[in-house]
Amino acid sequence: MEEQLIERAKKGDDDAFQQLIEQHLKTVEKFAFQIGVSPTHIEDVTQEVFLKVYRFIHKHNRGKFTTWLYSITLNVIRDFYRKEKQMKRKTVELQKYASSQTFINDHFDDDASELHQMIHRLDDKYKIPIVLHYFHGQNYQEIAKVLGVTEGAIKTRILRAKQKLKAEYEKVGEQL
Amino acid sequence: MSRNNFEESMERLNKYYNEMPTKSSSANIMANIKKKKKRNWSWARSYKRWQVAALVVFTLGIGYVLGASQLSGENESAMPLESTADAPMESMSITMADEEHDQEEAMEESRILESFGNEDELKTISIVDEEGMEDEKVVNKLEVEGFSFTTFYDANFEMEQVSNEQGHSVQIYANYGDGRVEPVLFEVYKFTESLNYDQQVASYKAMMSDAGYTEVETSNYMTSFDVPGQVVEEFMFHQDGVYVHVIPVEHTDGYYFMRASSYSIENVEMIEFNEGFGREVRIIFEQFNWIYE
Repeated sequence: MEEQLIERAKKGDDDAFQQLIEQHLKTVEKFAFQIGVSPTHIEDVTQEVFLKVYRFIHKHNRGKFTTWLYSITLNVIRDFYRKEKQMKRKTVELQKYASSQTFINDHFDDDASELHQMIHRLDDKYKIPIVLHYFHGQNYQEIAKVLGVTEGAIKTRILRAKQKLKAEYEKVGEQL
Repeated sequence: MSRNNFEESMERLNKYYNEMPTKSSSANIMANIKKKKKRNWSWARSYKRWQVAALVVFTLGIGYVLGASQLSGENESAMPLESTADAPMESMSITMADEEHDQEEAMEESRILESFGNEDELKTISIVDEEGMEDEKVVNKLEVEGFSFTTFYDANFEMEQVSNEQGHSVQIYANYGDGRVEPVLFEVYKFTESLNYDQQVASYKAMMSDAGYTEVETSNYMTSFDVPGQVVEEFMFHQDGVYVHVIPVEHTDGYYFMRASSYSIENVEMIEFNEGFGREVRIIFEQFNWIYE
């Protein structure tokens, strides 16, 4: 079904492309938020992701669509914050933090909020594999493709990420 | 923290993530895409009309010149033939123009998506120099087959592509009017040989060593810029007062070894270029866009 939609979208069928957006909108938003995009920027980032998908879908001819979509989302997020940083709007950082905090307080309980913050504080190197594995059901091989690294590297990163999260929990004296 | 507790906590957090309300709407996203597409489409159509008009005028012009030269070489008795001789020429020109038009129409249709959102080959950008003064710069598009990115660089500079047995590179050299400034201002090297990351790094270092460079402790020159993409690590090499800074950057189709140069303090002849080189690298990074295939 998805493959047919992709083929139709490649031929310029906008209805098919809109259906693809509908299918993957939640995934992109969720991933962006988990990687650290502020709720106030999620809409802009999501728009940019699907604009890029639209521009390049005719070139996508290998691998799973979602793997490709995660790669695009990651690069859009990087570009987004790189450009934002260039504008040197320090106040935005504060607003971003406040906005994220309010959003989390509104939607998560204390334990979930704490764990989300811990994951958020991990380096991207660890954060991205753990988010893709636990919250997007991606296996090591798929994550390796998204990040362009070996499967072994992903295994190591996930193991280290778990160790770091465990250590972090012990530091705050809580038990999961 | 036991394994089970960890898994349960992650599962629980995932439920929260899944319950988060969606902020975007597919209809709005699609409407914005269509708006942008329309903007490009109307430009493409007006450009195409201009091209077709120019083609018709050009072919008619050729027809007229050929007809006139044929006339001047013939005697008066041939004159009645002029109109009949010109008529097929003109109709042929129009037919050709029509065919060209149809072909262009078809090509444009297929190209419109591909070019959608693409930037021009040459453009003017606003920059802020080291003293905080605003300025403008004309930049050239850098788009090379086999490299999944585009960017822009100073239109006065020189671009060169170099291949060796292991890979391919695109190089930008500064040129301030007195010829090319060595070494390369910015380079991207990509291995075409099938090697893993460690092998690529070892091969890259061997290439630098063969070129007479010695690896030294990095000053993190490259990562002081906003590098587009995921930098794995940074290396630095030195030779005769020139520093070479290298970062492998991960992309979906492999590693891109990005290289920039700076001059050491004892290189009194060249050190004045340091500031300008840094500014140009920053522009290249700011204009950088990955392509996804």
